[in-house]
Amino acid sequence: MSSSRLAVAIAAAVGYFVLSRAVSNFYPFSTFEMYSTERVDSASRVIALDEHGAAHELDDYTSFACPRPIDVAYRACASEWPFYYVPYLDQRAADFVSTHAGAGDEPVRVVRRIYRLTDQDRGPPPFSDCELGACTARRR
Amino acid sequence: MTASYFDGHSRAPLRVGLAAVAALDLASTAVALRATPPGPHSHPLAPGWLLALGGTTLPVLALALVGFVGLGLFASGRRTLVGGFVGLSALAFANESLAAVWLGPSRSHYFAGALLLGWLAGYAHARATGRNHDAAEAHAESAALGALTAIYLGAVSSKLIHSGPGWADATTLRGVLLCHARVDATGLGPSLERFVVDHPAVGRGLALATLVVQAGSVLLLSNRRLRAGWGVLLFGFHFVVTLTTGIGYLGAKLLVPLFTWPWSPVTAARLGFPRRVSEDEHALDPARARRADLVAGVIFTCALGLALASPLRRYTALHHRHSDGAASNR
Repeated sequence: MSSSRLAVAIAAAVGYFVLSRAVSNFYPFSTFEMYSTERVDSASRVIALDEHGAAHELDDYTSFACPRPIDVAYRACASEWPFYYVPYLDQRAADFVSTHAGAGDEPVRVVRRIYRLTDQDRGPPPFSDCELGACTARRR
Repeated sequence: MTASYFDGHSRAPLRVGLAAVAALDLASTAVALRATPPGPHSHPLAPGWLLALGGTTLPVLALALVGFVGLGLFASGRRTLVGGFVGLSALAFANESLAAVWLGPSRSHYFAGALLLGWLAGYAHARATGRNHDAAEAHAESAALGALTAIYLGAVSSKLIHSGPGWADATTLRGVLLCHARVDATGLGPSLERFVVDHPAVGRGLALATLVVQAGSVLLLSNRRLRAGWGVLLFGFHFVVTLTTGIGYLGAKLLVPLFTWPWSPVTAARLGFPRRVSEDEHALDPARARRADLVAGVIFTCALGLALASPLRRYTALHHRHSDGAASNR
């Protein structure tokens, strides 16, 4: 009995693995290739800086008044290119600002914070901020 | 696979647990689908009928209800194949629809679908060979474990294929953590994340541990003690990922313990599930078994041929990468 169940388990594993390689991602088959396609030595995240330069998450604010939609495409920070970014996180940030349009009480800068990493240096990694939009916002 | 903690016991807790996780996934996907109409980020090649569900209420609710009924029938054990197929189809439609309307698939929902497919395939094959319901569920458990193993082998092989062993370097994992880390967060998770980011050697160690834990998933197909032990490591992997990045993978955190840890027979007895079942295999007809194997092989070959020959891969390759990290500098 046990050898037939092992054969079934192996057949299922091979079948799922091979079909996933064939289709890439089609429910419920997937190669689970998230965060595997690149080796990186940078990172970035779309955040907000208040008038004192302190960093906040966008959802720390309830509404934004921005002169233009926030452009999170990597070209918006061409001078800092190349850097690593996660498209769905960036789009979620842009969508948050656009779906929370309204009045603002204080000036904020929506920026892409870009971190640079090395193999050796310990401690917080250095970063730079690329401005994506100057807005006013209301704090939560 | 030499033994299961469920040998001699009803596997109903596994079946019910799997159905419950699948139902949770379906509900979560339906909520997201209802809130996401098609737009500029939708898949350019997605057919209209797949996009049409996005942002609607009644159609999404109807799809979810059909799926819940199917999963309920599957959980009951009375209509395993029909109920499971209906539930899986609803999950597939909902997930592919959501992937089409917004930026690609949510892989956290794939665990329940993969294990459900494995369960159904193992059960169907076993019944075709002439095995009774309980023996067929033993095979279903084995097939589901095979699917679970393949998930992690897929993940580790993707890393090695695309980036080589150098994926476990001192910067890649730290970069991923930083992209997800909230800048103003406090607590155990953010503290752990900052510790990893601030220490390149720790980042390298965790990345290597990720490869080892995922590759070691083959041990899920060995004896039950090793399976339980490796299940702890896999659960720990998902727990640390959630703690440091906020990426949930609730389905994995529920299904790995469900299928690998030795809790179930005791709990099953307390919940009133049958204690002793018959998995008698002595009366099997070898010719019937060979026919079942042949049919399974034909079905797999047809599925593979369809996958390779159809435009499906062009569709999935075009859009389903948008949820991943992009445009590095190495």
